Amino acid sequence: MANHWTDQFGTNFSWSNATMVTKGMAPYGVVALGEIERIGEKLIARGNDPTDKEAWYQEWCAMGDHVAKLGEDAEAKGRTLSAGDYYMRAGYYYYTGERMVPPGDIKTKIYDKALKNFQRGFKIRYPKFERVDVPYENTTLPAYFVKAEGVSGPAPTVVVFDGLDNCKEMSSLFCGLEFARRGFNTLAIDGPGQGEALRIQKLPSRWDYEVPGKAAFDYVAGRPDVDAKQVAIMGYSFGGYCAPRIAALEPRYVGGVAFGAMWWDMHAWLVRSQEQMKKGAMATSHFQVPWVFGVPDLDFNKAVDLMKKFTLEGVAQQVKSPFLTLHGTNDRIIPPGEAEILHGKIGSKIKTLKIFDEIEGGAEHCQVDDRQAGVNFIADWLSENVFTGKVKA
Amino acid sequence: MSEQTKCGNWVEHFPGNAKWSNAIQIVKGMAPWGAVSLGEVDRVAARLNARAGEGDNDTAWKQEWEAMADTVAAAADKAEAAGHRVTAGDHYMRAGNYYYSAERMIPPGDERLGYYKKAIRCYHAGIERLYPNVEPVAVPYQGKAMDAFFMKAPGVSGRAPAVVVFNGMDNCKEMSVIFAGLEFAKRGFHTLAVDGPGQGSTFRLRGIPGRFDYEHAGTAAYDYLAGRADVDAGRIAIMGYSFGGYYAARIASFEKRYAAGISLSAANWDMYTWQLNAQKNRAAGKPGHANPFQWRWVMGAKDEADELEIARKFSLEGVVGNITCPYLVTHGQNDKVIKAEEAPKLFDAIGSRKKHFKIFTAEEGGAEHAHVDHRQLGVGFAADWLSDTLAR
Repeated sequence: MANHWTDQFGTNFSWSNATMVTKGMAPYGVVALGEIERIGEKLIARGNDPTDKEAWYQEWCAMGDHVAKLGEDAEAKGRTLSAGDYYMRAGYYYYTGERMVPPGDIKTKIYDKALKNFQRGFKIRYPKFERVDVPYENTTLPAYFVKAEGVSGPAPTVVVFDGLDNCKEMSSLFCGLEFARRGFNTLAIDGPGQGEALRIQKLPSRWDYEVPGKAAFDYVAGRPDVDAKQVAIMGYSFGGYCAPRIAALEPRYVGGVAFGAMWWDMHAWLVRSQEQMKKGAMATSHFQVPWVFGVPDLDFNKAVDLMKKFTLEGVAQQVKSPFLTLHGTNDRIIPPGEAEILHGKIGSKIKTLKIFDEIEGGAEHCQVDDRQAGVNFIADWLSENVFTGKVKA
Repeated sequence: MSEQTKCGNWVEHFPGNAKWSNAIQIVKGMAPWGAVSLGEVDRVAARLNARAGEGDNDTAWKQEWEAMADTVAAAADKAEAAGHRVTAGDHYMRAGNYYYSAERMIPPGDERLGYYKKAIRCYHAGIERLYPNVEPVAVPYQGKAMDAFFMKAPGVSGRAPAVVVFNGMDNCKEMSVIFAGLEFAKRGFHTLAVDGPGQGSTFRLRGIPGRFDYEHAGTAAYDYLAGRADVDAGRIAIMGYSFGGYYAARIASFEKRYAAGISLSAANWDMYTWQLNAQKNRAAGKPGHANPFQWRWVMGAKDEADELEIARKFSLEGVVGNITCPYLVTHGQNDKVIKAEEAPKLFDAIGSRKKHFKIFTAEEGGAEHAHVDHRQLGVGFAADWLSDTLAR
């Protein structure tokens, strides 16, 4: 019997994976598993076909519309907190619908709805989350700053970059809430090629991710509630490439975490991906990589070429601060062997490799099947190895 | 593309086994508060499915939940020893829910008590570490005491409104203080989550069985809250969920100091016939949602005749007409434990001039028993209604 939790659409891994990312928000009460299952039933009835992008976005958006409307009804009756719950859920459902849609008008419209609902939801449910614009080159990067709980004065801080298809509206909760309990601040940021920065500001990703990494450091270091001597860098999913790169080239970060390692040889990965996409066996849509990296005309061949620059060879070796690499034995997007390579190349004296297995839980990509297990491990590791000054627990 | 015809198992995890599906749904219902891990729950279920051929399935149930609980509790102890108090709290919380789930299928006796004690150790270690605003209290009750948790609404000064929450046949204050308490706290209400007579530790550790005249427990809870300096005694509401839908209505009928009442799902209107049918089904070997021993055990009945005699007393006929405070009855359209048609019977009989009825449909969610499939929706609705009702 298929494992419903991680493989909701059976052999249709693309849909199962995208659904798992959304279900991974369940421990924070911002998605409803009953609603997700109702969407799933409709998608199964429509053929459970990973190439049917229309079915995917239509069903997720239909639930998004439904829930957003309930939110507006609740708000009109003065039931503000309930409205906040609805808006949050609508935000995640729209964002999930959006991920399979190729760049263009439809995608833009769906994202606009996602962002609108995220923003009104966060305002009601997480009024203490501060929406900030981090100065970056001649523009800014959007982020949520989540303050440490029960701490007076400057606190240790974690800067969190997303992956290829996540967003700060996820990490601000799954990292931010947990880190806050430990007495750490969190800057959950959409870097170039991520979330709002890509979609609204049209900022594509870049191989030299130390540039946004430095911008984020400069921003947090300038805040009176941040202890600039205790700032760590973290990235999840594709951010597992960004974090080691930033840790290597921006030594003011005193620790780093790859929450999921990326492919060590990204060029070879994309060459293989090109083949797999033709078979429909990929978790990621065909346009995703060229789009995220700003390749003209979404030309996959050019994306493959560009990937040659995305290498940590000779860079990971320069990481000197304590560094943690996490991975899952059952990660079906990036195999755990890649984490061993990254961990081996990291130059730090203090470095840890943590592989979650299926007995322990968190065996999937970036521990999305048990996000709390992954984030708790990170928080404990940071307390022991990086924020050894003043922290709560 | 695929042969798959069904997408999920959220409300029916074990097709054909209503008792297990219901029991696992209660565990899964704690997911929105991070108090269980759905990956772990799924792994337990997979092992249970693998043992489907065994004769005594409830032994498998007990063993598989215990195995997962042991693993998680060991991780908690290890985290605690390493000084990781918050992580330990998360693990303890989950272990508590898993041990409590293991416990529910075990017939009453020493073995069951052993499981309960493990659940309580973990639950309490978890709540202590994760929710410092929760205070364990003993509510004086007829020369004895009822165990309860008081969750203080954060950021309120002076006297604030409060909600007393009683459980049903097989839940506990360690669930309700989280799923109701946290949401009520956001609205500025304190919560007193009580294990009343026949419930949780008040029953298991103090030996106080259930009773039909629950107003005694309701009055004790009221008196306790009214004596606290942080509670506004003029704005205390009574709520019961699942079988507690009976208790809340009974209490509101007799303890007039409560300013509002909520049955977060109604109980069966005719309890006598309900128990009579349960006995008939049992004799015919027909499985139900509840364990065959549950009613007799919780109510302290001697035998089948006594079970029926007690059930006869659990009648709200001619009782709830006395309710005068604002009252809310909710129910789920697909409730498989107590049919949706029972709810209007309670609602219609309630005497209050201000009363509300809310059915949650499958389309909107929360359509299962006591809205366990989407607890936030049910509790959010109740909290909104209370905010409107108790507003000054």
